[in-house]
Amino acid sequence: MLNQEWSEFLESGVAITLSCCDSELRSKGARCVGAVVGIDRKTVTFYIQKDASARILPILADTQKVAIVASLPTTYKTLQLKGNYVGHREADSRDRVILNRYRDLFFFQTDQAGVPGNVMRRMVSVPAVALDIEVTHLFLSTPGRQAGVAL
Amino acid sequence: MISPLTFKNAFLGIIPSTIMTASSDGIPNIAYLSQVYLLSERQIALTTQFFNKTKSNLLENPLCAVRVYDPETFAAYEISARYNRSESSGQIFEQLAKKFSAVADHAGNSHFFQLQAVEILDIVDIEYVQSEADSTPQEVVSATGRSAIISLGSLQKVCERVTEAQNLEELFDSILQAMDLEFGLSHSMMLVPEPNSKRLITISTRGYE
Repeated sequence: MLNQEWSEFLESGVAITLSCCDSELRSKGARCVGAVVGIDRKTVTFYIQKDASARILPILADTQKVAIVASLPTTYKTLQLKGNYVGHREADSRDRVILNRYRDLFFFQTDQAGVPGNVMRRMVSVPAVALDIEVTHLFLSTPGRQAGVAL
Repeated sequence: MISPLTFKNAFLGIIPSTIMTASSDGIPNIAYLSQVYLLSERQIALTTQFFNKTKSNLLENPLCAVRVYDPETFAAYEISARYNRSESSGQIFEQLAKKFSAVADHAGNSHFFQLQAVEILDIVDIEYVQSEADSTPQEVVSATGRSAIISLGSLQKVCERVTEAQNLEELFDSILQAMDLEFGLSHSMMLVPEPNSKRLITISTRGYE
């Protein structure tokens, strides 16, 4: 279960990438454009641009297994979640607030990290799909000797 | 298949890349990469430091995907690859170890980041993930930003030229030649202090012949 620190971390300006693999063990990924931790702190909703999600939704529906890595661009503090795909829905107007908030937080981070801002602002957020993921395992993935330690 | 040569800037390490692997029982894993090295149109290399799960997954299941981002457009390219081999010595390792060490030194982490091995991956396919970034043509990179990107690539080429020098004369020539070819500085000279005097003496020139 996510504690307060990691819940806030996931909802901050972290870069988020999702990965899954098909039944032939071929990996595919997608960039997430926002996240919200559920009240139970076991379920997390990750947002993915709709067309990009089409590459991975059939795999998730088939295998359910997913890994997600979230990293703060200014510090490299990194969390890896592993879990199961629960379901998805199209993001609506209420989600738009979350997506816009994430863009502000993420671009603030990438600006601070020195990545050209006008390049990063090319990131497409909408239309988006909201993926519900049940988190089963957490790992510290910050580069260093502790990378990979289970939390 | 798209040629990786068409998006070489994505291999400069400006926007962090990721490698996605899976264990033999289908549990995915992701690791951030400081840089992906393009060896040829058919091979890439990754430098290994803290790669425990990634490495064990690659040994179980050689199929993986590497995500790189074009720093001028934020376009994502997902490279489907197959693990070929690991090298901890030899020409590729030595060459990448020098680059790796330079980056670690610059970051003040040379004592901490030790290059353990270089993982060689064969490129199987490349997918341009078009929908994640706005691909409409526009001038999105400031002159300063573009200059930084070009300079980084040029600096890499300068370093490569310098490392090939066999003696001091070749070293000086290669530095000035590289500055000419990569940065357009066609007239340059290298001066060093003369021992026991306050004068500088010229040891190499280019463009003044």
